[in-house]
This record gives sequence, structure tokens and C-alpha cells, in this order.
Amino acid sequence: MPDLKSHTDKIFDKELAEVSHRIERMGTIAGDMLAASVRAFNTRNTTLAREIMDEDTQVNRLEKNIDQLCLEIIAKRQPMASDLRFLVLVMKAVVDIERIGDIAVNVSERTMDLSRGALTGSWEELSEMGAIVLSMVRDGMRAFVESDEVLACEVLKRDAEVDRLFVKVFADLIELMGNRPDVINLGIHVQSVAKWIERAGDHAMNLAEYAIFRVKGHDGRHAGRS
Amino acid sequence: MNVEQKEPARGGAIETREIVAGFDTREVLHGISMQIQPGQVTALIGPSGCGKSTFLRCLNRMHELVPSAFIRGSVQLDGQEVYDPELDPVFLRRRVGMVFQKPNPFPSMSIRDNVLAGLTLTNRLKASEADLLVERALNQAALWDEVKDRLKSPGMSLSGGQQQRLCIARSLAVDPDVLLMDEPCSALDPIATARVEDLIQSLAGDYTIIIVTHNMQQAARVSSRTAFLLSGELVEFAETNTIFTSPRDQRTEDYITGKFG
Ligand SMILES: Nc1ncnc2c1ncn2[C@@H]1O[C@H](COP(=O)(O)OP(=O)(O)OP(=O)(O)O)[C@@H](O)[C@H]1O
Ligand SMILES: [Mg+2]
Repeated sequence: MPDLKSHTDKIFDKELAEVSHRIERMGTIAGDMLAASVRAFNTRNTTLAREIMDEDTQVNRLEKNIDQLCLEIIAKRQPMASDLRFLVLVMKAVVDIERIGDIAVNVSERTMDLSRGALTGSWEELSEMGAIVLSMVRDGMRAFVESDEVLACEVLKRDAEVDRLFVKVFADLIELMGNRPDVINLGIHVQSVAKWIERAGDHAMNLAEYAIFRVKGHDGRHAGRS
Repeated sequence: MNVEQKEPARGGAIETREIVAGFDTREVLHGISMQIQPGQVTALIGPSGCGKSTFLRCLNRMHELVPSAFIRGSVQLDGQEVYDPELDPVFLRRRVGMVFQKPNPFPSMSIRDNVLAGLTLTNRLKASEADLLVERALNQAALWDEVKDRLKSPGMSLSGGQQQRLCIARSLAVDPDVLLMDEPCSALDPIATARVEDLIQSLAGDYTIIIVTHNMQQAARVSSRTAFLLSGELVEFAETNTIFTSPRDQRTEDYITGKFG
């Protein structure tokens, strides 16, 4: 938390710390899931892919649990200013984190589909995209939990590279499918994976923007990007 | 009525410039400058003893009633200097009504006479007009239903919360331009509080209201602008929505989030 000063009511501090702790945990799990799903995709590891799909229930449970905790604190404390912003932003952030978890599941599903086919070939740009998006998710989470505005801005900057890579992957796939109609079916799966990963990057951007809102007190969304 | 003395103009815009006020040698307000638009509800918040009540009392010249009190600076009501020696403070106080922190009904008067107390000095009302006025004021103050069958009972026979609403009715009966409310709900139950808040919001637009409250949520609910006072200084004065979602000053932030050091 940014403010060194603590609440006169110390229990309130503990409650906010608990929210912070839980959302951090939720973010870690979703981030790990995404990392594993990208790894599973790169290596066509179906066992790993199946494991990821099971972990999603944990993320879903945390989402509900954190929402409930925030509601209780809002009802009990009627928070103001930075406390209010934090709790409301947490309730928004859990939605993005939950989606990141869903995306890991989607990527895993595609990996299962792909494992039945024979589309190989190197997807260097796609792995690169995965790595950047992953760093965005992890840093976006950290920026939010630690109210680190500088880190949040870093995260926002990485999006341009993700977009560039996405366009490249997309173009390569279209070219490949044009030359080899036999792999169109699989190519579409790869394309969806690229799309999902790109979307995870958008959720990471949201987290970074919540971090900035948390610190600065105003909503910077839709200002720089559109 | 003293014909020599001027009456203030109607409207309800208040501007204070560098109000310095205190008691004896002790300065309580250290230069408060504020501009309050007519018809707006302004909330005044700040820790106990920071000078909120003193500030309110400077606005309708009740401060000077304390023998040891002093004040410098200027208060203007619709462009007219409140501290103009030619201005009759009694008329000023009719234009700038006040509801006090502690209910103060006139002890010897009935409920009905308490409501009319501010009027009978100057206005001669027909009994039927007076009845209407009493009912309207008591209704506005959310007290009518509880007292309509005992208007002749002494004001002091009411409960603390009822007395407070009686005082609100009394201040409304004279139809002021400005209403100063010093923690008007501190003795009220949640229902009466909700009704007083509803009243404040329905009066907004027609009356300029300045309300002192220790309840941040109340300030957030009823006011359009909020002023934060700390140790006799105006720390921040801004849109209420800004103050409670993202105040500019760290001291405001600490106060409204409950970090008192
Ligand atoms: N009649 C008086 N004589 C001397 N000092 C006074 C008098 N009235 C108030 N004060 C002092 O002026 C300071 C400000 O008091 P004031 O009543 O304006 O505070 P406040 O902000 O309204 O506090 P609260 O929230 O407790 O009502 C206090 O230190 C108080 O002791
Ligand atoms: Mg007071």
C-alpha cells in the first residue's frame, strides 16, 4: 500500500491487507495458468493442458470470494477516497484476472485440438508474444497491488510490440493456409491461440490502468489508446 | 423596526475573505476565504475543535455575541458586507438562519409558538395563516405527524431528536435565504436523519445551505461542494464527488479515510 500512514482503526488496515493478499494470490494463479498454457501450446503437452483446465475452478472461487469480501468491507466501513478506489478497482480487477484464467483454459483447449493434428512449424513470434503478455500480466498485477505507477506505465508500453507480433503471426498464418489447404483447420486453431493471448494482454493493460487510477485518483482509460 | 437600518438583499451568495476569528487572544480561524454559490449545499467537515461552528457563527454574526470574541476580514451576502455597521444583525439572522449543534427550543413556548417564534417579532399573521405555516414548516422538518395533536404542549416536552427538528422548523418558518446547520442530525435516529437529508436536498436550489457534519457519508450524500477545515485553516474546498473519491490534499485524504495519526 502506498500510504505509510495507517488507519486509526487497525482492523480496517487488516481487512484491506487481506483483500490485497487474496487478489495477489488470484493474480499469481491466473498468471501461472497462462504461463503453463503457453508452454503447453509450444510443446503440445496435453497432460499439462488438462491440468490447467482443472485449476480454473480455483480462480473462479477466488473471484467470488474476493467480491464478497469487498462488499462486506464497503457495507461495514463505507470507505472513502483511496480506500474506496482500491476496493472498487479490486472488484473490477477480479473480472480481468478471471478472464485471464479463462484464456489459459481456451489456449489449453486449442492445444488439445492441435495435438490431434500434425501442424508443426515454429511459431517464434507467437511464443514471443506469449512471453511479453505474460510479463504484462505479472507486472500489471504487481503494479496494482503495490500501487506502482511507473511499472504500470511500463506495462502499457509493451502493448505496441504485442500488436506488432500479432499482425505478423496473423499474416504468416494466412500465407501458410493459402499454400497448404490441408492445414487450414489447424491453422485456425493457432490463429485463435494468438487472438486469445493478445486479449490476455488487453486484460493486463486494464490491470495496469487500475493501478494508475488507484494511485492518481482518476480514470486514465481510453485516453491514450483507441 | 428601526428604519435607519438596511436589510440585506435576497439571494444567498456568500463570500468570505480572510476571516480571522477567535476568542480573547486565541485565534481559532486563520484566514478563511470561501465563495459559496446561491442555492448550493456546502458541507463543512473537519476534526472536532477545528473551528467549524465558529466559522458558521461568523457568517450570521452570532460569533460576536460571545463577549471575548473577535473577528477580522469580510463576509459578503449577495455582495453586501455583513459586517457593515449599518446592517441590523437581527435582520441578517433572519436571512441567514441557523440550526445549532444542540437543540435549543424556547423553553417557555409551546411547539406551535416555537415554530412561529422568528416571525411574531415582525409579522402579524392571521391565525389561519399561522396554522398553515406551522404545518408546512413542521412537515418540512419531518416532525408534523409526531406533534400535530399536541401543538400546544411545551417545546421542551419533546425528545432531543424531536426538539432538533422543531428548531429546523423554526428556522424554516422565517423563509431564510441561507440556512446554516451545525450537525443537525447528530441527535436524530436514522429515519429522521433520512428525512432531514431529504429536506436539505429539496431545499437546495432555493436556499443556500451550509451543513457541518461529522458523517462523511452524509456530506457525500447531501452536498455539492465540501470544505475540509483543519486547525482553523481551509485545506481543501472542492466538488463533493472529488473530495470523497480523490481529494487533492493528503491531509484531506487522511482525514476522510480515517487516518488520524
Ligand atoms: N465561547 C468560546 N470561548 C472560547 N473558546 C471557544 C469558544 N467556542 C469555541 N471555542 C474554541 O474554538 C475552537 C473551535 O471551536 P468550534 O466550536 O468552532 O469547533 P468545531 O469545529 O465546531 O468542533 P466540534 O466538531 O467539536 O463541534 C475550539 O478550540 C474551542 O475550544
Ligand atoms: Mg461544532
